Amino acid sequence: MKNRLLWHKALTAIVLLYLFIPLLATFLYSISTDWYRTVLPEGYTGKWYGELVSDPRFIDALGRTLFVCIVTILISLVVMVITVFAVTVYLPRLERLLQGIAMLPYAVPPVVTAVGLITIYSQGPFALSGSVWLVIGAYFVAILPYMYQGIRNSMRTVDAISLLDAAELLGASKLKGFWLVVFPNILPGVLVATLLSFSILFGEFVLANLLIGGHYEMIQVYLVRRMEENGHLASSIVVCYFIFISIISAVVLRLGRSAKEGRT
Amino acid sequence: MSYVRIEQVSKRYHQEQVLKEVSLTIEKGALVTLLGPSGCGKSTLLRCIAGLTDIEPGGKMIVGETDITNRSPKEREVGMVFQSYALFPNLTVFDNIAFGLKMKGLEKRVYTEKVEQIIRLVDLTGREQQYPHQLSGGQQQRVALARSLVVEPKILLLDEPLSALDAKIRKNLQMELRRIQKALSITTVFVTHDQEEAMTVSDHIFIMDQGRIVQAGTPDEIYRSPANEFVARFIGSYNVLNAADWKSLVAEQRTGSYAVRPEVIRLLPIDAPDVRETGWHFTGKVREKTLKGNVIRAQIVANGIPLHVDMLNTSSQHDIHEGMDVRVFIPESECVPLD
Repeated sequence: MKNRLLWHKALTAIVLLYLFIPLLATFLYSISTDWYRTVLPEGYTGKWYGELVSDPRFIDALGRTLFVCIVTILISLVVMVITVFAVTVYLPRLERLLQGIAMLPYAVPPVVTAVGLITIYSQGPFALSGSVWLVIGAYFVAILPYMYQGIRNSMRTVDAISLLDAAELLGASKLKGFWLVVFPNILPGVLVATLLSFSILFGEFVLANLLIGGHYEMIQVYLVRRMEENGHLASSIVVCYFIFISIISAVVLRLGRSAKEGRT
Repeated sequence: MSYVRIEQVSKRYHQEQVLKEVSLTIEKGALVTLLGPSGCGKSTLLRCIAGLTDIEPGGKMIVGETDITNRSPKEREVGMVFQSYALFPNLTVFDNIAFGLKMKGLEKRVYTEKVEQIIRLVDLTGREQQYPHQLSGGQQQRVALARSLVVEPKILLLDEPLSALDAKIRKNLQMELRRIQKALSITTVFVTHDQEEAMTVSDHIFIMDQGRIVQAGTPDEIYRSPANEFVARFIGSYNVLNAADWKSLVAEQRTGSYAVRPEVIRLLPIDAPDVRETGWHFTGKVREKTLKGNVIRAQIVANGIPLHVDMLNTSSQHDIHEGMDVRVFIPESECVPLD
């Protein structure tokens, strides 16, 4: 009996080590002076972080990425929540179609998407190429599957249709019912989908680089450029990335918990 | 004049005719049950009455003096308790119950009194500020009931409200429901597949099979005089014997099928004298004996025909063992002819 538990613990420990060692190594590299001959760094320094924070381009790139990600997600939230509600309640026959559309982004590699978008939008009435709105549009499509699944699964879990039926019989209109009784309960699930989408977009390189690249330098492109200059700096950027995403996750999870109104 | 009239209601899902021109009437203040096996259409009919499911043109539904056929669920003044209760997880017990009254536009001062009254009626005092996930199944059930009743609907619809509960709570709540329904005199339609439950709570039962009503009557009428083989097999543990079965059993020619209730068949010791009543005596073997609490059920085989026999659990039944031969008597008066 005891042996079996030991085996499970050992296995878990090995998997965790496998996952964390690269992060740990990156962190060490970001605080080391030199590290290419010895097992552990030759010296420690915080100068890489200093250089990073004092570089205005870093702050700008961060800001641009945040802007693009947040705008995309807000637009996606509004559009997707309304769409899933409308299809679930008024047009259940279109559910299959919506599902198919939401899965399409999986089938198309980002490079293909980028090339296609540039070709279409570089001329004609919608000359968007080179503009940040092209990226936002492409990003909206990129997170479509995650937002759709997240919202739809939330609605299934809380049995939104029964809740709406009950609310209707008690005198609420479909819209009022949705707002008062369905939305607060799908909020945790929706927030998780939002977080997932945010993480994906924040690290998404191909579309960012191909659609606007240096014209509107976002953190992903900045990272690649710096990586070619200096490995230590690149490591410190990655560590910042990681810390930032962790903070966002914690905030969203806290929000999700309080949105459940009284549940522990 | 009947309070509720359902006339020629039909419903089709894809290629299947789920409801076939169903008609029924309900008296004011009565509790009627739609009883039938899964898939018979009883829940669908309930949803049609609530307005959550549309019906085919040609059907009509009247509640009180009002034709509700074309009205939206909101306008029908119908209360419904769902099988899953559908309590609003983000609202407290108090707010769940007050929801309908808030939707009507009542002020807090006004509805608080009504909500507190109904909470007392369903015996949930002290739990007003709790959330649904903190309550037991039976308590959630009562919140769902209170929520529907507080808006004073014209009729109350209950869709297998007790199916999710365990046996003991179920029995208690059956009585509770009946008590509350009678106290408020509210016309109620109850849906269940459990015939014992139906007989316990109902004034009137409608037995449904494959989208049609196959028999309607009081619990007693239906139990003692099932109209056909389907009802006989569904409503109790009836023994259904057709002409061929009777021939094997008692070597007598009878026309048609008969249903015999397990509690009317008498088991006697092998050497006992004949019972002085018109009926049939024959010998059988006890194949199995099951204790169901206050009832003992014996499976008898006589001349190749299996029979269920029920007896109350008194000391004289302990003389009957598995494997022994017994004398069996079926009184003629208790044989119910089926069409």
